[in-house]
Amino acid sequence: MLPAEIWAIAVAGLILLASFAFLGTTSKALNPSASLAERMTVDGLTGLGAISIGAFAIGCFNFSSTWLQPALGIMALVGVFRLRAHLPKVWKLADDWRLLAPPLAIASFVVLLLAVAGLTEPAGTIAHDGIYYHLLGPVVWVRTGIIKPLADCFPTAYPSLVETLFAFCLILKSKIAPSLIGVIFFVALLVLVWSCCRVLEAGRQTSAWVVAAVALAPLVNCTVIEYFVDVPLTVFALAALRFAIAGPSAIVATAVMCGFAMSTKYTGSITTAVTLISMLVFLGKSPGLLIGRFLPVVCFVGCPWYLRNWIELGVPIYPPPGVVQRLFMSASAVPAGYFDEFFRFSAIKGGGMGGGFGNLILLPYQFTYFTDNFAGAGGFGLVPLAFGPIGIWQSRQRPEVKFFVLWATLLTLIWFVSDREARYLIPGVIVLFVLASKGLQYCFASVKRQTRVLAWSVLLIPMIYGLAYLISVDSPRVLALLSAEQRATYFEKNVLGADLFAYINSSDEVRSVLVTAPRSNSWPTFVAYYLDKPYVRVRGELFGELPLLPIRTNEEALKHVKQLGVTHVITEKNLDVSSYPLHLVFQTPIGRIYQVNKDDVKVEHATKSQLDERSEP
Amino acid sequence: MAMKSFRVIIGIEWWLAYVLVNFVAINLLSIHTVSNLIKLPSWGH
Repeated sequence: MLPAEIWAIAVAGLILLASFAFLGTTSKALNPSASLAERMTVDGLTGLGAISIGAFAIGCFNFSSTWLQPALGIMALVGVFRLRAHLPKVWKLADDWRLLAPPLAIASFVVLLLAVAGLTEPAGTIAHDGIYYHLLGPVVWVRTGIIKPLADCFPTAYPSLVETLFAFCLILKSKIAPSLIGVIFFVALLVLVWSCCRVLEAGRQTSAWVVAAVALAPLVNCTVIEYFVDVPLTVFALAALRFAIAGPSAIVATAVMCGFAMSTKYTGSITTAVTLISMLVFLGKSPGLLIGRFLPVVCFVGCPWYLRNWIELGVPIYPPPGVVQRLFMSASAVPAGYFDEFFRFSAIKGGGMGGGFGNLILLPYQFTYFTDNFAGAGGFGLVPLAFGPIGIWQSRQRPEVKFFVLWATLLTLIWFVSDREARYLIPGVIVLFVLASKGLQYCFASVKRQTRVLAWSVLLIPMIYGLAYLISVDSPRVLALLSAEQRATYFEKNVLGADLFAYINSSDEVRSVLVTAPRSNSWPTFVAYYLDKPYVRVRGELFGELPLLPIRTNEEALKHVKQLGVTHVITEKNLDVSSYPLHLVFQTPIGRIYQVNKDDVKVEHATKSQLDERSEP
Repeated sequence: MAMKSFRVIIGIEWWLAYVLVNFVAINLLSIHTVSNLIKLPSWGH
């Protein structure tokens, strides 16, 4: 294994250890019967959330390794100290470990495969949201030493609890570690699924099989090492539910987790609202308690990103939906229709299989079998659809079940009328997995042999399908680790213009770059994440941002290229150098790099082959 | 008792078989017109 991979494991481990500095905090609100794994998970999540929010609050003014590295180091030491007391208990085996071994081995295999596949460096085109913006923000924050939304990429203004953790990895010089942060959240999700199943009094073996089914659900595991934040959001939402059913003493811990969910993704505000309503309706929480203790804590923990947006961009939710824009922004703040492309893009992605009452009734069927139509290739197996109704019916008198059902129903309804993209409904799907555990247990315990055979078939056949899907998706990344040749093939296939980026990143002459806009939305474009040098873009490729206003076009930008302060231009076009103060320095079939003329520099043209020859000794 | 009522409404074995047959037909055999086989509106893919 290469040192970069070992360093990535060390960096992710350091962040995990730092989170354990919070051992013994929120877990105190859990019932005494809660397992050690549950306690460590919720405390670790508290640590990850608190560290990220703290770093964000300071990072808005100064985000540098000068204070971050020592702070993380000290927290990791505290984490080690606190962990020392727990370690002997961690290794204690359950009495019925033989029954639990098969499902837990499956879940462990998935975690291991994801962790290994995640050891490749990020590679993807503009279609890869994880690289296009979840990683782009952290890269620029670390480069500029301040956490700030990027004018050329709207989504970098989203709440970014997880992205701040990615930025820690980059500050600690690891581009690989962010995918391992995803794996840490994935493990936390599996523990919490187990925990919630056990709260509903599902058996240990059944709960373990539900955990294995979640682990092998492509909809869930395919986002884990792709730098998405849907699994972390689900983890915080599920932790909030776990605390909500733990009793009145856990109200503050519930609020903390809801705040973290809001800090992870805008849709965390929806899960928080739904949690609040469900607690009011079914868990007998008094409105006074919720208003007096829950809401203030949620606002305190969840508000930093929204407050930053309000101060810096004039609106707490950015890009603002129409109503929010009218409420907070003056008409002249941005050009008319500035956000139209963003919302048009979201509407296309979130179309699903259509709205209307008929599609709502058919949703369980459509979403289970045709998840790909909701941009969720691979689906999530059959456990929620097959065993969910049985589990709900069997335990319908339990307040926790009513709470979960209302929570999942409200979330699904809001999802259905807003943005019907599959990964946004992962929290609802996971709650259905939990509810299904009781149904699965009933079928496993049936006296009728055909019921048991069918139950195992419904559980295992989609799991085999999920395993095949997972291996087919992640094997190119694992293979890329095995040899330099495989790695080169992998990057050539997944990074558009890798040669161009290599030239820019290795050349001392390049100090800053202008990235031109592609000629149309269907034209391949360069992802700024791969640039190690400062850059400006004429136009955001996906959402039409105009960071250089009043400059709107490539031609205007190229005419003013000297005033923009860039030294080079990267473009897929062949530019007319007689019209602009530029000369060609590097070209490949994908694109070209032009250098801005210095007054005393002789214009020089070179092809890739000439440059290769020149670089040879 | 609760599960007896469930069985009256829909037999569990029939329900599980229905869920599984749909999965095998749609995902493994790629019979995307399974909805036509069971005389339901075409739900497409």
